[in-house]
Amino acid sequence: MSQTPMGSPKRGVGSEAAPSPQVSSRTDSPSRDELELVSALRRRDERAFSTLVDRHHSSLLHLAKLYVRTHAVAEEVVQETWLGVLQGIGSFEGRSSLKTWVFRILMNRARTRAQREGRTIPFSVAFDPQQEGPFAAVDPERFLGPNGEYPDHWALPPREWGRSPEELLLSGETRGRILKAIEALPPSQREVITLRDIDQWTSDEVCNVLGITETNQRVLLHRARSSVRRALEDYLGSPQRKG
Amino acid sequence: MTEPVKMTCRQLVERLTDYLEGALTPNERQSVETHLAGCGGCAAYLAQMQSLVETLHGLREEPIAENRRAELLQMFRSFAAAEAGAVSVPGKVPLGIGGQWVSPGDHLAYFWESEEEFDAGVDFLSVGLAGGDACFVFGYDEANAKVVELLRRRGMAIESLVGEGRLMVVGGNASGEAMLANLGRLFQRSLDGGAPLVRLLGNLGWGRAQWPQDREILEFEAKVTEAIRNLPCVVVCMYDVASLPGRIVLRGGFETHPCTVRRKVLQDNPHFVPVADFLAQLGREAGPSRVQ
Repeated sequence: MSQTPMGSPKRGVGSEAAPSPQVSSRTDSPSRDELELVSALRRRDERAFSTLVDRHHSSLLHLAKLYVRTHAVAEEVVQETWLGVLQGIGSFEGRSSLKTWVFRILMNRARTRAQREGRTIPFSVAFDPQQEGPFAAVDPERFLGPNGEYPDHWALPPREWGRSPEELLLSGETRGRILKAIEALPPSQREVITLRDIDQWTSDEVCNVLGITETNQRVLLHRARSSVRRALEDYLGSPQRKG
Repeated sequence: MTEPVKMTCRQLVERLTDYLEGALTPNERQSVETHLAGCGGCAAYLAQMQSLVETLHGLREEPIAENRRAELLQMFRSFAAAEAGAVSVPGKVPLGIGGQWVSPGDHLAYFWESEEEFDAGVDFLSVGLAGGDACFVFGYDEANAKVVELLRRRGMAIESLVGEGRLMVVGGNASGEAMLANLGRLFQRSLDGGAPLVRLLGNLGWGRAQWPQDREILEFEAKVTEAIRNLPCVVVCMYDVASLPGRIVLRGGFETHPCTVRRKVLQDNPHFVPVADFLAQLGREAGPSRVQ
């Protein structure tokens, strides 16, 4: 069969049979660790609450900020969410993971608050890639034209960065540039890349919480990653045309 | 089986996320891998993308700020405590905000930064009215009107409540001593009339006409703490963080109130200055009575 190309994808995702992109997960149920947290929370165990807060507060906050005007209001929405968690944990049925359940409470609170603030962001529009303009992962100038011996191939191929992720992370300036590139993304792309690549949520988790299709999620992730890669390449030194 | 289509570099960069996510058909995946095997540029692009994703994994989010965490734990404890008491907490009365409880004799500064927070503060009175407490709306005219309006919107029959002596709207006075004496008299009258508890929601007229100078209001605030300490009264003073000068927020809000509420979370206030010390400090300050 084919030889393994240079730099095959990690986690073996490229080598498994591709699942249908539209199938939603049936595996969103509480982990054992989450079930223990649920029991402890029902007993009003403060450490369990503390653990859950440490785990999810940051993500809850950046998600809330998509819907409300200010950081302070986002903090309020998150606080109301935690209260909602305490009030509702008794009736949590385990039909979804605890995480999904908590974040759904947040989404409800955030949308209610957005409505009260008079913001009308129809939820379906907020994460719809079709609402965004045309997109190219790479500047078209980097490719050859459609005619000639190597149509649509690299004119200025990229070079490997020669720096490991660890080395990239060591530089505060590099980290800052990456974060800045993420900040500059449209909100729905910013949210998806943050949840998937920084918070390391699974695709299913993102789709379940945001209520979007896997396809939409993938398109947003694609655009976000492409834009950030581009910004990082510009910063680290992109290939220049000779002459 | 059909031959996989030859892929161009321009196409590959658009399909790369699908590839990494395992969302390609076997044929498409074959196209990608065949192309990657023969194209250094695309192999480098893939390497860059993988490196980026791994780098993003290493970017950790800011952990929750310590004070925020403390506030949430406080909320948790209040919630658990209220729940344990089911309907009542012995010796405590409901604050009406965030399911929290206060003691008769408490004097609180309520810091508000948004209209929503101001509105939430009015629940302190509405929960009292529902419970049969005597409720006072105390402050400068516009603030009093705002509070009354918010009570009206909650369905309170303002005119009846005022007629029955259960709700009183009280303005300020040019003398701090006169204000204190007046409130004392009114509180006693309500208690004598059988009210189980007196609640006062205050919006003091800092810098306003027909109100005392700042120093006298500070003195008034400090003396309220002492005056109600052993009475079945709870006083909540609203502090408009956006408009008040910082010195008023600090001295009026933080130094004269044993408890504070911020972002609707009740906490004991470590900045409280014992009444005698505070009054002594005020006395030592020479010069004009506007806070320096």
